[in-house]
Amino acid sequence: MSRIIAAIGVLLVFSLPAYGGGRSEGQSRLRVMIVERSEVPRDQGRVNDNPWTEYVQREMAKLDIDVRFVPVGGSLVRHTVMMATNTAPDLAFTHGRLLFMKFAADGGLHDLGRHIPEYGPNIPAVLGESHLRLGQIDGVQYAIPSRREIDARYGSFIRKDWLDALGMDVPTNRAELTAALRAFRDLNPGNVPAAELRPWGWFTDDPGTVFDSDFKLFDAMYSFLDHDPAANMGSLWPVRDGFRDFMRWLHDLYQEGLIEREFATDSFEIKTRHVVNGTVGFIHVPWNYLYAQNSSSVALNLARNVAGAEFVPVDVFEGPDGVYRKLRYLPTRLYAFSPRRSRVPEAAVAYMNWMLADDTAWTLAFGRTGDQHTIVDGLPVFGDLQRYADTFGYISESLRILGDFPFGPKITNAVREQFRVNDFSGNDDRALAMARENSFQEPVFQSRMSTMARSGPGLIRIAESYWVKLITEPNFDAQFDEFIRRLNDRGMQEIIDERRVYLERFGVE
Amino acid sequence: MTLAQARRRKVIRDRHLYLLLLPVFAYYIVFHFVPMYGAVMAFTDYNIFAGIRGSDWVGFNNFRIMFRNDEFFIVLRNTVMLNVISLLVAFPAPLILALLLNEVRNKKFRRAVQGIVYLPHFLSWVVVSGLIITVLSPSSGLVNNIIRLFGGESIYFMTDSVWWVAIYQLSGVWKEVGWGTIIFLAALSAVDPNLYDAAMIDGASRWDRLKHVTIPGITPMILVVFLLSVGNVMSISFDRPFLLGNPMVLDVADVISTYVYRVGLLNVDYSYAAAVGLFQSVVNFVFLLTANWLSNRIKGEGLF
Amino acid sequence: MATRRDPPTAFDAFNAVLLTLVAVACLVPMLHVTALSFSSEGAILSGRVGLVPVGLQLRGYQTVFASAAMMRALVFTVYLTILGTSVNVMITALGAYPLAKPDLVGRRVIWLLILFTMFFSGGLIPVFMVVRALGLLDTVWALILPGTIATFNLILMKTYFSGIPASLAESARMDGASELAILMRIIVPLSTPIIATLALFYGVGHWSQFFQALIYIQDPDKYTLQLRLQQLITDGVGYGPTVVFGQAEDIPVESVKASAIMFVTAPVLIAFPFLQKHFVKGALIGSLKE
Repeated sequence: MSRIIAAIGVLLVFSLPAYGGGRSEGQSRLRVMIVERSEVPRDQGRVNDNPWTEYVQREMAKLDIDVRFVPVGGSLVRHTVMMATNTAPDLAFTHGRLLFMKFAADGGLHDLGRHIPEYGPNIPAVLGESHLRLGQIDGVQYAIPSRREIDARYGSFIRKDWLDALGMDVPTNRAELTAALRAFRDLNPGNVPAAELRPWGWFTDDPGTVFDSDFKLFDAMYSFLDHDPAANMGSLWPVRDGFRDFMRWLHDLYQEGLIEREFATDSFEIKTRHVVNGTVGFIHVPWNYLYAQNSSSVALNLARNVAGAEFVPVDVFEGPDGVYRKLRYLPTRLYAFSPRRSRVPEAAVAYMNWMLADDTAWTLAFGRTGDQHTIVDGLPVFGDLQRYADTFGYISESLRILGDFPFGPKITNAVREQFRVNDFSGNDDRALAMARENSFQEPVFQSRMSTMARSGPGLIRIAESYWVKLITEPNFDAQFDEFIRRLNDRGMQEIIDERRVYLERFGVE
Repeated sequence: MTLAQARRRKVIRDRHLYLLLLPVFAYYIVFHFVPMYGAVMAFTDYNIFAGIRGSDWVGFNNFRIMFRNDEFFIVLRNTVMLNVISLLVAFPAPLILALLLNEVRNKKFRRAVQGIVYLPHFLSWVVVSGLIITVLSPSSGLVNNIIRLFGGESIYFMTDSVWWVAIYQLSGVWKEVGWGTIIFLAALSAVDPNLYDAAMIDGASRWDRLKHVTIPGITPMILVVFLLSVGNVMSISFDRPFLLGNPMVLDVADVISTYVYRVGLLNVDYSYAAAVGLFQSVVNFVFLLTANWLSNRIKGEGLF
Repeated sequence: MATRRDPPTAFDAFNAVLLTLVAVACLVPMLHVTALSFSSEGAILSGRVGLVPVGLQLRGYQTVFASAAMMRALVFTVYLTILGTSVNVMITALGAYPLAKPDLVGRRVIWLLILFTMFFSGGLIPVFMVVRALGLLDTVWALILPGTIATFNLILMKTYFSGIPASLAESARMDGASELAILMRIIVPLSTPIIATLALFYGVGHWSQFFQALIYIQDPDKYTLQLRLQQLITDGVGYGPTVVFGQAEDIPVESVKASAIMFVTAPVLIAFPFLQKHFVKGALIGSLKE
């Protein structure tokens, strides 16, 4: 016992200096937040202290930059505590629009717009006025929204080898898709065990998070609704014309045995397992789900398990007007802001301005010319990818808080091509192009919608418990009427009314 | 000598004991009582930038919203229901396991079993729930494969409310039963061996010894664990119901923590979450005090 | 409890079988994760891995062991666990000993107040303010002091101490021993099982620290293992450098996750037997009583 105590004592005395020191506060002029997006190689230092943070400090010496590291996980709690206790850096950001709107509405953020003319001319020039509106609440520029180069969201994929075996063409609309699913069910072109056969396998994006608020079948749903941005904004989908037909369509497919029986309970892992094992004919998933650039790629592992198995992207959800519309992400990933208690909001703007200057943007995206890459015909050429990754790739995304710089498709594609590890014979490019074609985004409200905040959680619970029942249980019409009635009881109309008022005031974005 | 004088004399006698308690007092005051003012948040429309004092006072408004919400009563019912069943199933399980371990003669075997049963505690619910859902899958899960092998029909364990509750409880026992034995094993090791010897001399059988020596010896510990479980009747941590739950069983799986999560998802409403938390605490505390009082009345011992 | 003098019965056989079954059931999840950690990416994705590795490989472990961040987190977490557990157990014992004394004046009030804190708290932000005011932010102490005493553990220890015959302390007091000396020389040696138990509870608590580290720590050198694990599993922070549009080096994501879980769990499993032997040592009380 005493030996243990002595050992502990020695340990404590010798290591206290290493871990005992606290953070010193408020010496530097501009504190900048950084999160860790990938492992920092051993010889490069730490995420907040490496050759690239030194580069930032040197370049922006007059701002005297202090890079503050913030863990990524649990950002809702982390950010709230930081903001509430005045420990947030002068330039901070959050990924959630909800949290950003809350911070802005509670008066916790600086109006950055005031400083843009003097300190941030690059910001509107590079990002564009309409993009900047994403960071405005009631007309005030509380945040600079980052830029997302690839805003594609979902894609539909069908087993080409199964279609070929049946002598069928690739389906081009819902009716042909249904016919293909029926053929898969009846003729089992892949010769999989009958109990394992899943004509339509993937159903929701991530059913593991059952209390999630997202409804993940947007593209299929919007193929039943008139394309009407005003209705998207001023209404809610359960009361739109066509929504009932959409749910009934899913209901019928399920009752016919065309949709995965266990879609409501199966986890992401289990659904992937089915796809990889080649028992699934059709999936509707994030566009890049099949095409990871590493050995975890679903498409590669499927091809390894089942010779000749190949998914091809298809466009099957035509709208009432014949256009194949797809929902896309908001063109932003995060909202960069300066907390109200910061004394240097103009320095935060100046820092972001520097980040968007041509030279800086290039360097933060591709590394130093002559070091991480050379320039041939105006395009960056990366010789040694591993070296690029070890000396710069680890930090690039963390530093570029304003996201992807609009270098143009020529450069973007050239870079993409060089970092391609796996060959998907063009299917990945086709999937991306398809997901981007005729895409539109959900409405963005630039005021706080208070009825949504109040009644939303209750409505989500009803939607969650009904949308599975509507599909799986036999009495569709009775269930659907009950569904709408309960939504109305819980205040759906108030939300619609508030949205209408907003629509009348601000119009469609 | 008056009562007050006697007390004073005792205090003086025990002054060194109070001295020992100083760091303990300091801890509770600094880290618990000083920050306690934060609970007032439940009575405000809290603005994180204005702080408690700068936020608008709304009285019992958050509680009114809570009680007017029929959804709240559903999650309340589910929370209590799952916890009461746990009290009947998950509470005795580690005690029984500890007693069974205590009856093992082969020391090596006992140690090996002890070392193994703790293992699931160290895996997160993310891992464990994934395993459970896979094993119980109606189409491809091991359990249903066996059922079908014997000519039965697949059971939809995770989408049937009754089965779901059973799986929820059993998975909890599976994961935590070994960890729960630790307390009881520590208590068992303190039972005076002389008492066993005396019982042997009196010709007591093993069953008699269990009844008259072992169980009474660890009753204080059993009581403590039981009372503290009762004081948790309003709380269920988030992970298990969230990860095992699905839309089909929302009617039983939605509990206070998942409800608060959903509220927080759409509406970063700190005051409302604080009000729900405060309500939980009050009910838990009342339950604990009542159970403790009953325990003192009936058994003559309790937490204090 | 069975002794050598008891003849083996049917119950013993039944008990052995039952406990074996329980042990097997409890071994399954850990065996599964172990198997995953050694299996090939394709086998994991296809769900072919049960309790034995399929497509044996070590890439997962190689990646985790090559990670400087994981190694730093391991060293820090070991330090945090040892320091934190020592503080926890000492202070808890200081509280449990006086509070176990049945005739201590004010005992009931003190207990009531302590139990009160078990249920009511001011929430995250006020506690953060205290931690900051004490200058503990970004130090190991921010991960230790706010949780110095777990009231549940205090109650366990107090309950255990209450079972120790008061006559032992009384006779020492007669001999003029100080209260601290009684605690250290008489009570503590008699309480190894509960001390080992609490050391285990507190130790595992520190080992799994995630939330407090998330809130109080901004220095990447003071990142706990669980925080790293969480980052890897939920936030998908890449292992091996991710670059603009893909990964330069191919990393088997799923087996790295399983390997990281094992990396974080294994030290506890290795340390456990050393604590385990103290659970059964407490039977000294009887012999001392005479």
